[in-house]
Amino acid sequence: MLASISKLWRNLFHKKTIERELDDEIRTYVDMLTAEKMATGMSPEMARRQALIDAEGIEQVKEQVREIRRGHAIEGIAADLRQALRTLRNNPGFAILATLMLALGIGATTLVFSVFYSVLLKPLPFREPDRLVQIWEARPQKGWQQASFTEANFWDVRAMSKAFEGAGAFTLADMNMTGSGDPQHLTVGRVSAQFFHILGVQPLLGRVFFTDEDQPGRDNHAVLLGHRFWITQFGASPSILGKTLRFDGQSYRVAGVLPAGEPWLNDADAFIPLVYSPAASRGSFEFSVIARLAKGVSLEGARSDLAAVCSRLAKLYPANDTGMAIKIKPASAWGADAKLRSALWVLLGAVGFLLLIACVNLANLLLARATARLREITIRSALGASRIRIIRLVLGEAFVVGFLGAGLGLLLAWQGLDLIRAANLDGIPHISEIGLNGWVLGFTLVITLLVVICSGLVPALQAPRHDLAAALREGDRSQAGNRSQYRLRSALVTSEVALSLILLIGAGLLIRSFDKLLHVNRGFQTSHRIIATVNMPGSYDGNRIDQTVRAYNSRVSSLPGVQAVAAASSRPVLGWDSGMGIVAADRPDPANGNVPWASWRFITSDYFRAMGIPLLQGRTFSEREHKGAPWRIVISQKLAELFWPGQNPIGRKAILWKGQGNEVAEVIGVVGNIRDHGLDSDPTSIVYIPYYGTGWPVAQFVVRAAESPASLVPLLRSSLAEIDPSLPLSDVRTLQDIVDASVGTKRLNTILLATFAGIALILAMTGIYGVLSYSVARRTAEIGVRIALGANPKRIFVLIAGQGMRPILLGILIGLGGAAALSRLLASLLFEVQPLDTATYIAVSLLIVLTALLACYIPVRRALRVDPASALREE
Amino acid sequence: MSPQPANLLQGTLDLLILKALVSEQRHGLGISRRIEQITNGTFQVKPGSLFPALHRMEEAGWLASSWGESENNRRAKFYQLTKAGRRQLETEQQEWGRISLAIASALKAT
Repeated sequence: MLASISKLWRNLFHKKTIERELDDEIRTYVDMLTAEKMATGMSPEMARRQALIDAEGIEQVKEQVREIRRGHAIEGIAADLRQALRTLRNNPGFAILATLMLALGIGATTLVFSVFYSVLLKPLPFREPDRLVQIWEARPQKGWQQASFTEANFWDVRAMSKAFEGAGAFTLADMNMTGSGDPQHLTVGRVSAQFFHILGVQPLLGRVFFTDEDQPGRDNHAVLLGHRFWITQFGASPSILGKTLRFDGQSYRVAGVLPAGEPWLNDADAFIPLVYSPAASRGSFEFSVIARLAKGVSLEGARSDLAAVCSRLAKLYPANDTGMAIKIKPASAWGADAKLRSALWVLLGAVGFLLLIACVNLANLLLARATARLREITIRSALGASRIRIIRLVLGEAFVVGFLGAGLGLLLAWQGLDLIRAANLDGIPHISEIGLNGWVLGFTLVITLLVVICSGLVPALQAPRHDLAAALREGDRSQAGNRSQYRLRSALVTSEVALSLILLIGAGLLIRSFDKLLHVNRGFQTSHRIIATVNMPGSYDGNRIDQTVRAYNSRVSSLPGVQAVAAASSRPVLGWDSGMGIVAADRPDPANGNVPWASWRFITSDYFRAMGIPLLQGRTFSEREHKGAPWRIVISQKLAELFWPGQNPIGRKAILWKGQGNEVAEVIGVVGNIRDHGLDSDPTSIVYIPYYGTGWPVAQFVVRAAESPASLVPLLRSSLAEIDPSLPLSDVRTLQDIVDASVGTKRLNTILLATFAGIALILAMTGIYGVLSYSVARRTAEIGVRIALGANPKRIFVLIAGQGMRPILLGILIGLGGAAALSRLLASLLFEVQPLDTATYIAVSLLIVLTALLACYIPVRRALRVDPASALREE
Repeated sequence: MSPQPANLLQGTLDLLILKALVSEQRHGLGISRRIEQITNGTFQVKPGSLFPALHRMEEAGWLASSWGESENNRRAKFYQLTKAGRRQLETEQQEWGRISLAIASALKAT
């Protein structure tokens, strides 16, 4: 063992001695052989020659001995890498170009994979997440497929179901925290005491709720702090445990601090227990319910158990629970929705293409270098370098370039992650958790190795196959490759063009779609508008709420620079809302309970002016009109057309909350449609109802300013303080910001895909330029002859560019086919743009042809400038 | 000089080299000539196989080498058997005996 280690040491670090001894040994052998032959009467020259022939070459024998030596593999690889570094240093242009290309490809792929991992692959931060489920109430006969739970049904299902180890309820409440500086609006999660036990979450500090802390009669005034709130509000101080906070006038003692995590844990600033009440509401659907399947219970088993519970509940509470069903979904559905999923797959596919292009480009460059080095390689193999050794030499270069590129690519990805974090992407789950973790780095390592092997192997396998003599002869003359190599490089160009065309078309479709989305008629205006929330505590009765809203409206409208102000019960473009069944009173009820559905929104009189929604017919409310006294409504155009097509809807009657309240209301106005469920969804049917008289405690104030609204914010705060110093103004955002956030995913997609396509175009053009300038350089002599014989430079350009364009046009054809096939995958991400949008296809093809012509033009022009005489000499 | 040289069976070269070195230490050409001699000229070992084998066997610890003067006053590298080399020769000889017996009986079988 010791001996072999010392041998290895000697082999690796005393190479000179070893080499000298080997040389001596073989030379002595040949000398002795020569002497032997001279002894038989041969002339010295003849004997020497015969001895060398018998020995089959001194250098070859030495190389064979070297290959069996211990440590030869290590030493060979080290030598290959050293050699590769040396050649790259001698060709900095090649090295920089190749490294940059790979860095772009690997960086983009790493970046997208890091998002992909955080959003889709990363396991939930909960114990045994495969047993976690979420359940919803449903009333299939009424057309409710998925609704939140009522509080009473949650307690009942929790008590009756045998399928679960436990179930927990979660709802959000707006509360004001007082007594710790300025009054502050908080989002407070109200959860049943078991909630965090079911998730399996360990607190960072203190404890989670005791499992009976939601029972009445116990001390129910513990609060758990959310991670972000703990940091921003209390500077992550551990001494917060045991302190008392006041929410909406009630005292809560801090019992613990929760870790960060999505979903649930990041959704609220603080959590308080939802206290059990036998008189809980059966009509208000506001609780998210999670549960942990008991060991050995499948989703199917839970479904049949829940069906039994439903029929029991329907018998017990026929008024509310007739036709009740419960829908169950595994926790794996908590992450990205189908749209985001397909968006991320598209992005991953796109960077895959980009990486392929970078690969092809690198292969192309290495092939060109291998061709230029044909002579060197031929001489090496003539001197006894084995085929493997030569393949390793070429692979060594790919390896060095690959890892330089990967390093730089990681830096790029790191920068890119910062950009993504800074972008307005709140809509994407787990996006805040993106980073370069072990999985992402491992992925980068694997793709780098794949790139190195794929792009290095083509030229490596090509290199030593040549007939030595022919290669030496050819290398002597032009140092250029043969026809088959030119064909191989053309094929690489074709594939590059095809791949980048597909990417460009994908990006083009998304850009057109995003442009349409941003310019779609959303039905309201966003410029110079801000929205802020005033949350009034539960101790305010309806009168006080009305007074506060009215006072704030009049106060703000008198501020300089304010053009309109109004309150509403919810913010626009949220993607969710509360709705009701609605029918026209003067028309027969629709058959089989197919009642139209409309959102409702409480507003004060100036809402339409503040939002920039056009009033089409009739009038808006006055400041004196109250909800239901008498029932008067303003409806969106969509509803008017649905109920009274071509007729005047003003003065007609509609039945609101059909099947629940059946309020008959008179239509006093019609306003324009707005896309309230997101810019890419259809306009929403909305029923507007006077705010006053609703007792709605969370008022969203829309302020329309003459100038930039940002300067108004301090005034808005001080105005509120003058009216009611205990109320905070919260969530101040511009309407533009809200709309931007609602298209965050699409923006990310579009920007990333466009960037990738741009990079792909540049890479493909580099490839085309490389191949073209190489083939033009080979034909310099021919061009010289043609010019000497009087050919028109224009015709020569057409001739050469024509040949150069052949693989490009072929690539465009293939790419168009590929794009037509693949763009169907994009269909779900497109808005008002067809996957086979002719304009995009034509524009992108033209773009490629034009840039390719440019890439052709430069080398041909250079060749045309060459003096014919010197061109001929080159041959 | 010799009849048709036969192809060396895999592994046979090691055995022949070990055998050639039993009596005394030899240099490369000496080993080559000794093998020719003891196989009655059936096996001629070319340096392309001889030297890799020598270096491999040296690394395996079967052979030791030293530099010395050849019969006609040249500085040459001499190889000699180590203890491990002698043991290896034993086992390879036994192995070879088994193989040749087996082959012989296989050829005799009808």
